[in-house]
Amino acid sequence: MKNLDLRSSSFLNYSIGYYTPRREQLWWDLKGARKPITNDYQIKAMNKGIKHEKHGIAKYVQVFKEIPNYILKDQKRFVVPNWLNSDEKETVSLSSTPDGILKDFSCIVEVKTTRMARFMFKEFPKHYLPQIYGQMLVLNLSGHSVKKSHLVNFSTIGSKIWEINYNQNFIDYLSSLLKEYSLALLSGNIEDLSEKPETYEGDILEESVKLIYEDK
Amino acid sequence: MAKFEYTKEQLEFNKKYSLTDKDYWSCHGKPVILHSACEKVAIKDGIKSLDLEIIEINSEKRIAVMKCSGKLKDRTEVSFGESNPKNTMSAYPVAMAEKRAKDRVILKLVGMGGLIYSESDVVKGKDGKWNFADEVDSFEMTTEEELAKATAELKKMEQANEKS
Repeated sequence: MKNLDLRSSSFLNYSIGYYTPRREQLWWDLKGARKPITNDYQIKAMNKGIKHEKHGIAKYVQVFKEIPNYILKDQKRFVVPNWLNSDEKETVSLSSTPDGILKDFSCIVEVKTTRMARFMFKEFPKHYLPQIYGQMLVLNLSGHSVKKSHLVNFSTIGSKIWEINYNQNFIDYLSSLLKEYSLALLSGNIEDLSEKPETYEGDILEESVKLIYEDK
Repeated sequence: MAKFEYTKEQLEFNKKYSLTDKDYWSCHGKPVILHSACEKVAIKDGIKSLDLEIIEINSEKRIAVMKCSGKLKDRTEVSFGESNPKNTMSAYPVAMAEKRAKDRVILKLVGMGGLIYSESDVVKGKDGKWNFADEVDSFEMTTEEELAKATAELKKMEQANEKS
């Protein structure tokens, strides 16, 4: 049975094929299966990420003196059912479970670790943009008004926090790639999906991303 | 050959009260004294007056806390028995709290408090496995508790970074 729910954590595969090439990802989704993770390093890194998520949230609270909603065990999954408004029997949904959301829904909080949480990203990790903007897309389609995200890069030696502002152009770009992916998923034809999509034309880092906190 | 590796204090205790391996059950190889054995100790030592007081009973939430006071010669001891879904799977939380409170007081009165595990020191996890309560990290912490713990851990990491 096909996987007809596109999760924001995999938007980077659906849109740009970052970890798994797009057509390979589609092949797994058409099978209704998840690509198994067999790489030991990747498994350990994921577990480290899970282990330190709470510390990333604690860091966020320490810096901004505000406890976000829907954190840790209270995380909430937001779903946009039938996001293409299709009349067909089979429809595709988008979903997202952010690490936290500020109480007024203006800002999403997402925690990421780098290389077993032993290092901080030197530069902003661009490959997370599809997930970050995907979270904004899902929440806004769910009736909220998210204006930005804060990406907490937690490591045991220090942390950085970037602010990513809402960017309609990038969200339009992402939506078009997700739409292409969704249609290919519904048609069941791998050929309907371009393996290498066009890159975003603007300078997203210049337009919408800034470092707002860094441990000295 | 004994089933357990008893400590010196436990061996002396067993000898004094004629307890054998049958008076214990094994939790990860360590001896945990049965409630019946604690009762046996109480009878042998003439501990008759164990006073129980209800501190909290909430049938709906299956929470029970009992206070037990006991006297042996000129020694008086007080302890509490707690029972709630986080530390027991029992359908009888009040009976469990009573049993735990009594066991603790009896063992304290005979000088074995902290020297031997009783059933009040072990909890059954959701996986169905028994664990010693002092080795269990936490059971279903609330989000606030989890965040407070993470904040404390974060501070430790930051202090360690400052030192290095």
